[in-house]
Amino acid sequence: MNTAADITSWLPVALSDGLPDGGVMRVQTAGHDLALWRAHDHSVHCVDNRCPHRGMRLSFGFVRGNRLNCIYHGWQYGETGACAYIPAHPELTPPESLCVPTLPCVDHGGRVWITLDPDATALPAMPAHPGLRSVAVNVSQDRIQAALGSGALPSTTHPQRGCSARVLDTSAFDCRIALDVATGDTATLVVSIQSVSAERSQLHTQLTAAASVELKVAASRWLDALRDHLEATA
Amino acid sequence: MSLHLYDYVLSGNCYKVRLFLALLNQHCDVTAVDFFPGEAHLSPTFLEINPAGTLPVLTDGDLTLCDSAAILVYLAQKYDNSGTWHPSTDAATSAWIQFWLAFASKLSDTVGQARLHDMLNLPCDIDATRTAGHRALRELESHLSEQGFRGHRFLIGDTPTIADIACFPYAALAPDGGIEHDDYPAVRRWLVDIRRLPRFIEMPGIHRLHDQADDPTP
Ligand SMILES: N[C@@H](CCC(=O)N[C@@H](CS)C(=O)NCC(=O)O)C(=O)O
Ligand code: FES
Repeated sequence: MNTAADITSWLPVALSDGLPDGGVMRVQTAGHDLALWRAHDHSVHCVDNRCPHRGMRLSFGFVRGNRLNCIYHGWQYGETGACAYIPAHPELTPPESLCVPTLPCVDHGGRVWITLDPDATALPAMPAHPGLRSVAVNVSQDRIQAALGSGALPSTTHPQRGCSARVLDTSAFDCRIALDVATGDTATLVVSIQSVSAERSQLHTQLTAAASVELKVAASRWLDALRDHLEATA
Repeated sequence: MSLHLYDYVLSGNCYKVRLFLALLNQHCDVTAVDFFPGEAHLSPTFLEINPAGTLPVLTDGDLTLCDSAAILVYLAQKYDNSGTWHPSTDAATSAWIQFWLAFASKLSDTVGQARLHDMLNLPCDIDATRTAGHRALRELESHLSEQGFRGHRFLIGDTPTIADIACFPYAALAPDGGIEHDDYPAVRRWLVDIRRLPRFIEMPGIHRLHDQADDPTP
């Protein structure tokens, strides 16, 4: 993973299901502090997490219609990042210079991706599997990739929920893991790794097929065990 | 006979009671106790009401209750006509309510303690306290993720209970103690669902949802 710089400049930063219409969340990656939001027209957007007015984190803000509103003095930003409305000056059309920097952001393959590279080529087609959950791990992305690459994955041993796991394949974007559950069920987990900082990452995970509640719980508990294993061996 | 709450506005434990009363649409007289900096909870008159010197305290006629979890149980059983806030339909559900009421104490001892450290300079091993706080939030996160798989938005089922009220304040106030919500998407979703409840009230550090308010934009 992360070898071909042209395509892998896209970073998975959330599950599509994890960012509902009207949702705002904070994303940190490679020293960047960002706010990710989804308009009510379902489009996704990523902006610098600093309101140009007085620097409030825009991830504390809220969405009305297709605008991100700053929680502090209510400045409203449209989908291009341009300030569209200032409540304290209702007659004023904000000048074009009033805008918050944006990053390219797409909803693709069941995940929300951003890139720091304005010339990044479009992502290739990939299946939009339903999201399972995003799991934070206090380990660097490199170490997680190395651990998954080594194939030494933990198992869980519960008589119904226990899972044994093996890596099926890894691509530039994600890693597919086969889970064999104690009940005889199987599932395929797609794990996309997002670097948060030198010590922290997020695993955005999906299941490739519709699954029962029990199977999702088994996979989710296995992810807790994977996180604990990665943190214990880092 | 009427309800009377001894209250401190910045206390998450007191807010549990205020919030639940508001959600029940139940009137209650309130006496503000100057916990900080006045230490009025340690004054002889207050110690006559609660010898333990803690807030909140709820009185209802001759009854005096001195623990937020006990107060939530009492209010639910006595004043919730819907019967949904403290369902005791079966043994497991009653036990789960107890589990989350106890878990709420774990949150106040960790996440809540970190907040007291940051806000009031309460001495403690802040790194260990924050680590324990993150561990508690991970537990909550895993459970709420699994509830999501079941199509359930709250800690017990798809309707809110006193378990949610007990756990909500300190989970929501975690950033005041340097414990960000960034790593806990299921917890964030649950916090929003609680703030969306009809008659929800705020406390300093916990705001209502602004996207629900009237839009001032012409
Ligand atoms: N278990 C009690 C604890 C209440 C509590 O510790 N309250 C704090 C204020 S949030 C307090 O009164 N502390 C004073 C002290 O312990 O001296 C409850 O949940 O009501
Ligand atoms: S800081 Fe954002 S509107 Fe003032």
